[in-house]
Amino acid sequence: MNRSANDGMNNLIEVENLRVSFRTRLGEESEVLHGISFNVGHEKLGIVGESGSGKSITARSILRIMPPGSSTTADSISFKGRELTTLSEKEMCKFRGKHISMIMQDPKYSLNPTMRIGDQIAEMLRLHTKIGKKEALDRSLAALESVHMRDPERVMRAYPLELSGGMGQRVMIAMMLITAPGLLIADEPTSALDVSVQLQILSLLDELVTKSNMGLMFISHALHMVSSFCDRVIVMYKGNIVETCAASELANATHPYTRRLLDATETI
Amino acid sequence: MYINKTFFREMAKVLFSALVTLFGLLILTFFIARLLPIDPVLAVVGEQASEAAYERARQDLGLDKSLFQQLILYLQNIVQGDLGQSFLTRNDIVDDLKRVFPATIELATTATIIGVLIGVPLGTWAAAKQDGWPDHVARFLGVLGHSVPAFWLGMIALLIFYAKLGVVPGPGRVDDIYYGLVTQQTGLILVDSLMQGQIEVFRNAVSHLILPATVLGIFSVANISRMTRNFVLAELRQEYVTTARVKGMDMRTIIIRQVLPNTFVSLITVIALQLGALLEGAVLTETIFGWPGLGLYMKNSLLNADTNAVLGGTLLVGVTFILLNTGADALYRILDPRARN
Repeated sequence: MNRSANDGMNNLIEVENLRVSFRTRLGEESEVLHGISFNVGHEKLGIVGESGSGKSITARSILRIMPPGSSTTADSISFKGRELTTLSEKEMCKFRGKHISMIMQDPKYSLNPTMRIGDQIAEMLRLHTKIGKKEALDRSLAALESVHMRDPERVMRAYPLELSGGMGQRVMIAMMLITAPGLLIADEPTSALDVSVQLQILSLLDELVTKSNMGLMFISHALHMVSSFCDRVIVMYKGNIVETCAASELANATHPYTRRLLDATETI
Repeated sequence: MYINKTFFREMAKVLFSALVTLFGLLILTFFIARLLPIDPVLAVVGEQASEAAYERARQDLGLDKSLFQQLILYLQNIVQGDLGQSFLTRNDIVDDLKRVFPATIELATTATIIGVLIGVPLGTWAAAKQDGWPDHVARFLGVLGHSVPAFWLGMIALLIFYAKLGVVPGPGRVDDIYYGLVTQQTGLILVDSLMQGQIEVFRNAVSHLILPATVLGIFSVANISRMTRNFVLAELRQEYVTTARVKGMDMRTIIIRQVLPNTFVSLITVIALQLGALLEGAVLTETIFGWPGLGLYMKNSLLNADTNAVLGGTLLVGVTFILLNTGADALYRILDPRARN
């Protein structure tokens, strides 16, 4: 294990003993996350694992946006020393989006189809800052420029389905970063995009994360992408963290599951 | 609003399909009239007419011409706003419909407004608190609306509120003493009485309207709340709701500002169809409450084999339905950016 990159006070978020379970239709509790602990500093942390290993659940339980029928417990989830588990839902609403935000897999579905792009971005800003509509729209336009959107004025007035996948994901990034959060979670942000566009989005994320010195939790099932893009990697398997190492050392990983993942990638 | 070339092309399509439907409706009513086992000539001249009188009436009605010529004649008459005369009263059907339809519009619109005002919030609430008590209330009303017949509910309502409690007046649109105080302008007594400053009449008309409108409104509420609940639940499963939560919006605001507006488009169609169904004339409700609307008129015409009246009414119902559908279709294309591509 290599944790030298982020020790002690530099941690943005510290998670201790996070457990999530779902109630099945028969009324039984089924645990899907078995008490994991990890932390994220001002770094790009990759979380890899197969479908159902608990990557997305981990992200969503931190933000407390879990579906009904689930229950989450943790000894502690703290963000910059502030305990999140004891916050009320109202306080959590003020926290979400302002300090931690998230971009999702497919911008086709993650943007509201009947709202103009400009209004959706401005809405994010107005939820967390006391500014007028005009100013919010101006800053939204600037945010679109900061993600290198071509023709941002037109995009402001467009509806989501008038945009390509890559443009949609740029909009999501612009929207989720407009409040300058400390941590961004990217849940499979490139999986729904064309290969050529994937690289553009990755380099944009890299540029913005480095520039603002924030933390990035990069969730993906693509091992090779994570190992070349991230600083550090967490490997998850069946609701447990089975390996934590620097991305550069992933090739020398020892856990049998990680080895199997690596072998599977190599044979492809 | 999003008006460009595509928009006009879409609107033209909507209009065209409405016209095709209308034409189909006209053809249908024409052939129904010819297929009915009722001799219209006999209805005009009476049972004891002589052979010569019968033949003359037959020629007057154009029934000696070929079917195609008859169809053309029928279409010509309709374009000129002539739906023929009632066999029973000799009134022009158009005049009859002008008299009875506003009564139905008044009743149906009020019932639908009740349905929307209660049904939409109830359905939304039920979806937001899925399996909570608002959901059970909505489900109970839904079952009630689908299983209880209108005539039973109407009679029970009359029994309780008219016969026992005496809090509402009896049949008709106004009490007899108010009858004729208001001249017909729009035909909607509520509107006419207000325009003519007859507050007394307005109050009386409201008290007459309230019970039948509520009975019909319960069916509206049942249908609209159930549909609203389904639409809202479907929207809540969409990923953009997760995005809104990540942004830090609370569920209440998400439902009001993002989810509900996205269901309006589907709701408009449901509401339009609901209104359409009530505008056909709620035959049972109008009969029980002695409401002089289209339903009661059609029922009486049917019982008297008054073919022209029935067909005229059918045509009116059909046209109303087409108009409502076309309106909902057009509105949907204007409001929803998803429908434009």
